[in-house]
Amino acid sequence: MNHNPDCILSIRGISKSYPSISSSHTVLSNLSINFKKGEFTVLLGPSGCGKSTLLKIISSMILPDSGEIYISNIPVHTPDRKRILMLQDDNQLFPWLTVKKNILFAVHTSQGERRSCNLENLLTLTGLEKYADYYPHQLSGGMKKRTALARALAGNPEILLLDEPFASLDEGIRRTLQQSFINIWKEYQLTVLLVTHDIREALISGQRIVVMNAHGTIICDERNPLSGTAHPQEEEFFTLYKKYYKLISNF
Amino acid sequence: MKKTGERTGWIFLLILLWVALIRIGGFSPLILPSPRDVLKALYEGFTQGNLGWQILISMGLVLTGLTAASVSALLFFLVSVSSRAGKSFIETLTIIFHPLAGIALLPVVILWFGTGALSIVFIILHSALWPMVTNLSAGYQSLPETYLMVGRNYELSKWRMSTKIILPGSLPYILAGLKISWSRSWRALISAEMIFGAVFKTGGVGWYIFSRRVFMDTPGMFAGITVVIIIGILMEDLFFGILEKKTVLKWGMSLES
Amino acid sequence: MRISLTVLLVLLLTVSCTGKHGDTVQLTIAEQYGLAYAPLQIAKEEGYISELLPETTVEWVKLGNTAAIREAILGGKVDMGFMGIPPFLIGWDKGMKWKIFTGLSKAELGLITWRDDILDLKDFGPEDKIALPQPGSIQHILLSMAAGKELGKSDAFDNRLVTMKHPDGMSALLSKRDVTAHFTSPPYVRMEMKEPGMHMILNGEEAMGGDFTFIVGAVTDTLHEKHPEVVEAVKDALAKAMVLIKQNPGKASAILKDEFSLDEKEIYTYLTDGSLRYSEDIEGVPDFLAFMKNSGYLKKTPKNLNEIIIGVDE
Ligand SMILES: Nc1ncnc2c1ncn2[C@@H]1O[C@H](COP(=O)(O)OP(=O)(O)O)[C@@H](O)[C@H]1O
Ligand SMILES: [Mg+2]
Repeated sequence: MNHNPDCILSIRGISKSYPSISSSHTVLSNLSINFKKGEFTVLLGPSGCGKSTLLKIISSMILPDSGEIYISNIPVHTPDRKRILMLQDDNQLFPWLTVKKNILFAVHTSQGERRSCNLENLLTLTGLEKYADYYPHQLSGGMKKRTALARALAGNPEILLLDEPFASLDEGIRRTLQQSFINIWKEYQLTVLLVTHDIREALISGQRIVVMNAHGTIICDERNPLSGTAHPQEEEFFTLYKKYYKLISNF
Repeated sequence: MKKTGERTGWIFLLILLWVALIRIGGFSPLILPSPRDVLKALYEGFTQGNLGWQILISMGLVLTGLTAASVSALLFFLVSVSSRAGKSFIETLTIIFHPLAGIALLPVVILWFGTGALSIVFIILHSALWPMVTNLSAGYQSLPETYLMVGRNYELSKWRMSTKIILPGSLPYILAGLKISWSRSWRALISAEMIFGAVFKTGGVGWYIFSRRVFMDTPGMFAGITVVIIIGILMEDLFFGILEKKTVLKWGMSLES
Repeated sequence: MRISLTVLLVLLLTVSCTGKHGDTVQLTIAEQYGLAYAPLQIAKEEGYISELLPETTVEWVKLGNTAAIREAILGGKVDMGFMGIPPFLIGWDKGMKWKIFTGLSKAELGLITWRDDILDLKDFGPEDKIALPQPGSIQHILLSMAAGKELGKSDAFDNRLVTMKHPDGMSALLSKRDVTAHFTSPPYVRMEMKEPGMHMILNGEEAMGGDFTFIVGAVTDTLHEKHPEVVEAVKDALAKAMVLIKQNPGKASAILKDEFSLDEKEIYTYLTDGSLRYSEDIEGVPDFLAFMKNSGYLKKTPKNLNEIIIGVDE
């Protein structure tokens, strides 16, 4: 058992299978992993390996077949606003609310009172200042992602679970966003678990990189040597890229 | 606005066709009165008769019935989302009563509520309730799971989950249901009025049409039918049109798209 | 667009202009449901009309109420219909080209209530409702006549009417709830009076102040002018049926029992208890005319009764 006070999130012995046409399809089996407070972890894995499933289990959106999720050593079974999940789905903004109101949705607690939130700041960070009064259907896919991210941040969570947040963004905006997100993470002292199948993204943003293979097994868990380096050397970057590429495609 | 223009154009064309039919067909005014006779009857209905009141009475009855239906539909909906037993109970009720035309219930309604306004409201309630219930649950089922996940993530209470997410998220279906309910209950009202007679002294538009019919006042009958049509168009194009424009269309949520 | 409109127009015109008069004469008769129409049923069941008019195709349509019969006659779908005198007069007043050619029956009509405190028209409160077949029906006009006489206000009850077919009116009355009184005709008058607590406040003769014909037969001027012999034959056939009912009510009941899906004995009772009298006489037209004109139900009256009744000289 891990009783490290630094350990904010602990996943112990999680298994999950989905019913399929022939018997059942096991996605995760007996998976365990711990996360330290304030750590920025990137979970890297090929499409379909079970990353989204894992995030939904961590946020208690779905329950595992076995195993437990601990937050600060307390088992949890229902979603709460300490662990905010930004879904991969394009359809997570409320179409009847403007960008602004969608973001502010996170600020109203269950009792309806407002928490403090710097809306202007969030809009600037995500480059949505001009779109505050737009409705989601008037936004591009990338702008929707940014709005969802702004909402996730606005709720001021302890743990932020991001499911491929920067996928499907233009290269330019992705870079700026990734960089500003790192700043936010530092400023808010968030614990971040970011899921991606993009090795480049993992190398740029994560302090720690966890690699999952196609069978949902963790095959690598290490500190990102490039962490903190704003402009890594081409060569080092390329070597690491090749290493992770081999890991996730080799099964 | 384009739609309004088109609508007006078509209606104008239909009136032209009407006039042409009279000119060519040489119909007796007892079978097909001219638009002018109908206008005159309409004018007399307002000035000499009680048509204005009768319209208000009919609208009042429909609104009362629709309000009662909305409240009941909401309650039914809450019951059906609260538990599995509740859901299957409401489903069973819907299967039993939805196909039953309001007019078919008439003898029972007369026994229970007599022949006054209460009975008419009950028949409207019946006509409006079931389409609303079906549409509410269709809306709920069509609600993306992700909306609910977001709601759960922010620890919304059941109440806030319903009012902040489920209801607005089902609005396209709710509006569609409301439209069906409106037209069903408007139809039911007109037929029920013909049977229940003059509720609130003067009766409503349905009674107006019926009393024109039994006294063979064909232009008056057409005037009454015209009123029914105009109210239908106003509700469809103005009321629901504006409501949709301000909500589901603005939000890109309309069912057609 | 223009083409489809033209097609629509042509279609409408074809439908409405298609004549139904070929070489042989065709006669369409509208009937209503009820014992007051018994001679008509018998003439139909026994083929009396076809017997007298072998060359004529006779067609029968059953319609729910007088308004529907008038509309069918106006539309040229029906040549002959049977109804109360007031609905006939309303049609004539509005310009329908038709005339009464026979009487069919006289009947005991009555306004029946379950309320002990109501003995008279003036005992009705403002919330008390009266069920009857429809405004403008003979029941309604009789009620207005009585209201005019007793209360000085012939439209006193017009805001308190409930439109119901006789059987519905009867069950509403017997449930003793919403409907205070029911203005009805045989056999419902006797059926209701048999129930405990029911009493009659007003009968047809009192309301009218005399005898009157309940149901008359009316025929379009077109048919009568072209084929008076057809009208004559129908009249004779009805007379023959009336004779049968009078002389052999047992046989008449046997003929009628299928039509009414009633017990033969029951029909026999209704035919013989005096509540219905079948006769070709046409009585009460002048009184209805005078009252309906005075109360504004009619805009005009005929100068001579032969404008509305075939075969009267006045
Ligand atoms: N609700 C579900 N029902 C059945 N199978 C599912 C469901 N969700 C995901 N899966 C399957 O589980 C596997 C992992 O899915 P997912 O967690 O979405 O992978 P990733 O996010 O890594 O792409 C996939 O094979 C997917 O088809
Ligand atoms: Mg995924």
